[in-house]
Amino acid sequence: MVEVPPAGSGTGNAACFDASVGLSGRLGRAADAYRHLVGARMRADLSYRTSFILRLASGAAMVCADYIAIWALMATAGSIAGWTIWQVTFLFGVSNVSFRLADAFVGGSIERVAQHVQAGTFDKFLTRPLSPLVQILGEEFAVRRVGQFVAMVPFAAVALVQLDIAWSPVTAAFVAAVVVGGALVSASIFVITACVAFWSPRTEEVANAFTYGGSTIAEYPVHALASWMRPLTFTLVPVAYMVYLPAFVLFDAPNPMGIPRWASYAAPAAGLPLCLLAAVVWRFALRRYRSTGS
Amino acid sequence: MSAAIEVDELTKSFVRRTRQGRWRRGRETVQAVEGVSFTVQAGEMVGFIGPNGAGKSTTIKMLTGVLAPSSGSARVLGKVPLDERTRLARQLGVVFGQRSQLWWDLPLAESFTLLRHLYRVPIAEHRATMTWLSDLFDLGPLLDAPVRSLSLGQRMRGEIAAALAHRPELLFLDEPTIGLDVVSKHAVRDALTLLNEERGTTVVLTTHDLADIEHLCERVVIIDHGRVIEDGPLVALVDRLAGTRTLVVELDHPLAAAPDGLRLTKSAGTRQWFEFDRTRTTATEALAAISQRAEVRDIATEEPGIEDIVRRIYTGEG
Repeated sequence: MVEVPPAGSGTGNAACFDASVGLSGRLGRAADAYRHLVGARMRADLSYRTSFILRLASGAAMVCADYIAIWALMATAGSIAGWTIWQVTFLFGVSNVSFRLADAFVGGSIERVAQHVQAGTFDKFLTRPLSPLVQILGEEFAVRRVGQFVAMVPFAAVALVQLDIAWSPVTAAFVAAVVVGGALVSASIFVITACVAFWSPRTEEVANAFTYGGSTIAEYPVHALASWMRPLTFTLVPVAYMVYLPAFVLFDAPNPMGIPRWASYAAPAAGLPLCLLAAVVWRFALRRYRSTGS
Repeated sequence: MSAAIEVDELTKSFVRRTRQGRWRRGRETVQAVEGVSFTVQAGEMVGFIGPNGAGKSTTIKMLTGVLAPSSGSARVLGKVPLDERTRLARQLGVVFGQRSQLWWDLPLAESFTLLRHLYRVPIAEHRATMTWLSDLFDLGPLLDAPVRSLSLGQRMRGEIAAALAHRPELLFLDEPTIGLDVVSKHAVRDALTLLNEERGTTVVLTTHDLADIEHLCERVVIIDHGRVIEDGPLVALVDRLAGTRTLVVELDHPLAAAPDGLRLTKSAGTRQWFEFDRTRTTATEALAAISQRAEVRDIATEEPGIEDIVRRIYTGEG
């Protein structure tokens, strides 16, 4: 029998959750746990190697097929509401890079909340000393969605090269901000719609309408949409802020709907308040879960 | 001794929506726990029993901070579970018997490594704990096998060991022996007994298997309809609630009718079973009454099983 100190004397109890550990320390610990959870998920997925590769490849092929619809439209019409093929490809590529990035790191995992709530397995996340959000993002990390993200990068890259953009460090930084901002917008939509599961079971399709439906809308110039749909892209499904608005900065063109240029510059920042909103909704949803139970 | 758990008038109600016609929905409040109070001292091993839906699991979920109580107060290891859930989680081990917290597709050993990172247990401490747990739950041959390939009994040993990997002071087990075969049940019980004796870990478990209680717990809390209806040592409960005993006799000829105060419950040839009220008749009196009518060749007494007693409590006969 190995000598083991009595319960509660282990350093694991007192020392590890210390009020003196600041926010950065807590974030570092969360990141460390997240990294291990993602690693475990990848090893688990790889234990079914063929299925893993097939899903990765089919996911990538599927998102590329989306482009065919746009390409066919451009081949017959020549342009969409005044936008050239490379402008539309830019919109398609960059909005999808952002969206698929968010899908890979947030959407693919957070959509599993619904199953966990229904099966009652969500409880285990609440019995561990780590944010349930970090746990679910790590434990359910959907590596197959990374394939979809990777497949979208060439579309964005080719469009950026083909477009007549006056490149400078500032432009490059702006493009990076657009990608990150768009990913934050998408991630927020993923989190908020996933929270619906805490109120009503079997509502995954509702979430899909907002997330995947939203990403499809984001592939088209807002001013080309039906007039009743346009306000929705700034509010309920806020995809206009992702690439459409910032695009006018890069195209150096006036907005046909008369939206001022400063709004185009500010649009990538829209992801931040949305993230905040998502965090509030998530906390509210957790409280709801804890007061109704499984 | 200090109190590990103090619960005072804890209640939990859920709102359930009901259908009333095609579109109208009604709201109905379901009282899952209605005013439960008890105290568990550090180092105790307490068994919660009660019929399905009695509120056992809901109570445990409130004590682990998974659910918010509707009213009443709970302190677990000096903390309010809901407010200090994350901090408390480091000191608690929780096993929900019907739900796994292990990583299904990975070798069992990986679950322990991952939990080490989630709970941030230093590596040296983790190694010592693992040696101890492997020994206690006989995990050696299981560690390299993917969890999905383990039998239910093996997996449950893994689940409980995983809940102990951060050396909690208090262990909650919700139906830890459900579905296990006899050998596996014994393995789990033996390990829990050792855990409690050697480490002084406080254990609270719910079960439907009363043999678990007999083997493990000196104290039993019976919950029914969201209330504590019995709380005390198991022996005292059996003593107080076991209303009848049975005298089994081997006679030279079977009796056609039972003597006064006795009831003939079964006959098999010359062997007969007579039940009597233990508060009114002693075994000696019963035997004397029978031997006046026939020659008694052999005797034995049967005590009512704990199963019988509990069934009587559930059905309201107790």
